[in-house]
Amino acid sequence: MPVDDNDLEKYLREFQPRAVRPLETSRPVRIPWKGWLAAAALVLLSLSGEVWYGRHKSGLPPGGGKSKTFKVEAIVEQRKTNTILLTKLALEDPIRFEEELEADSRRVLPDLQGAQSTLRVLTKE
Amino acid sequence: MKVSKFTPESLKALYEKHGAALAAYGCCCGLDFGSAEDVVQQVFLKLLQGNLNAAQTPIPYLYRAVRNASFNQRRDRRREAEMPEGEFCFTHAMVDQAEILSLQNALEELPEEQRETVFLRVWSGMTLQEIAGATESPLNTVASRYRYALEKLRERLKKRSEKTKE
Repeated sequence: MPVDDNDLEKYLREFQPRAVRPLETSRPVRIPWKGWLAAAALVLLSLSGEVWYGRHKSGLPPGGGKSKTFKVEAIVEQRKTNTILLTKLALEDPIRFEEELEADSRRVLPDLQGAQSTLRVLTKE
Repeated sequence: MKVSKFTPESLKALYEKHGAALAAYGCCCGLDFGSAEDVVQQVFLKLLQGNLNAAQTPIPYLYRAVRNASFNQRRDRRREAEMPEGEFCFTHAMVDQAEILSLQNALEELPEEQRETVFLRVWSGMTLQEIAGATESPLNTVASRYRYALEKLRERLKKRSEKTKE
């Protein structure tokens, strides 16, 4: 090991710093989530394609699946409206309310007076 | 070497002349060689883009920029910051790899200001007078730092070579 400072300096200079790569003056912009974004886009594309193909195959018009849901919602909405109307009627005109209930019961309860009523069929049996 | 403004040409010339020594310096600040190389590239790119202020004395300025960037990187990536075993930042045609590692470790163990002075003097070829002017330190202080640094390096290298012989 060199004892003198100058010799040590010379000894140190013999060690060459490792070469570095050339200076990159323009670097491409790195987007770390680029791969994930591409994968998500691919999945989305395949899913939408599948849905489109399914609809196309079954012959449903666009939004055809929604119409059933719409019908059920409309019935539920109608019943709610009926209940509200009946409540209002009960408060304002009890006689008409009774008539309405009777008419409604004919639609809901089994028919006992008609030619093909449940009661007549049971009696015959 | 004094320039008032960094131009792309002056920066490229600085990179070619001092880039390797700056990367080795980054290694001695605790980075692996690849990270040190990246840090040096980033510093020069920022200078090229005008994101850093131009300095009157570019070489010590570059060393400080590399040191700060190295410490920031070490802080951000604490787990990865340890220099992997056997990572070389220097080359030497005549000595074995163990001796190169001994020098790297000895440099890493020096106090910051002493290490900077050694790099500026030995691998960037500045005189002690130039270093004093560039670092705005008295010449005696710079000379003392350098002398202490050489003493410590000598001691540590000697101890390691004795251990290797045993």
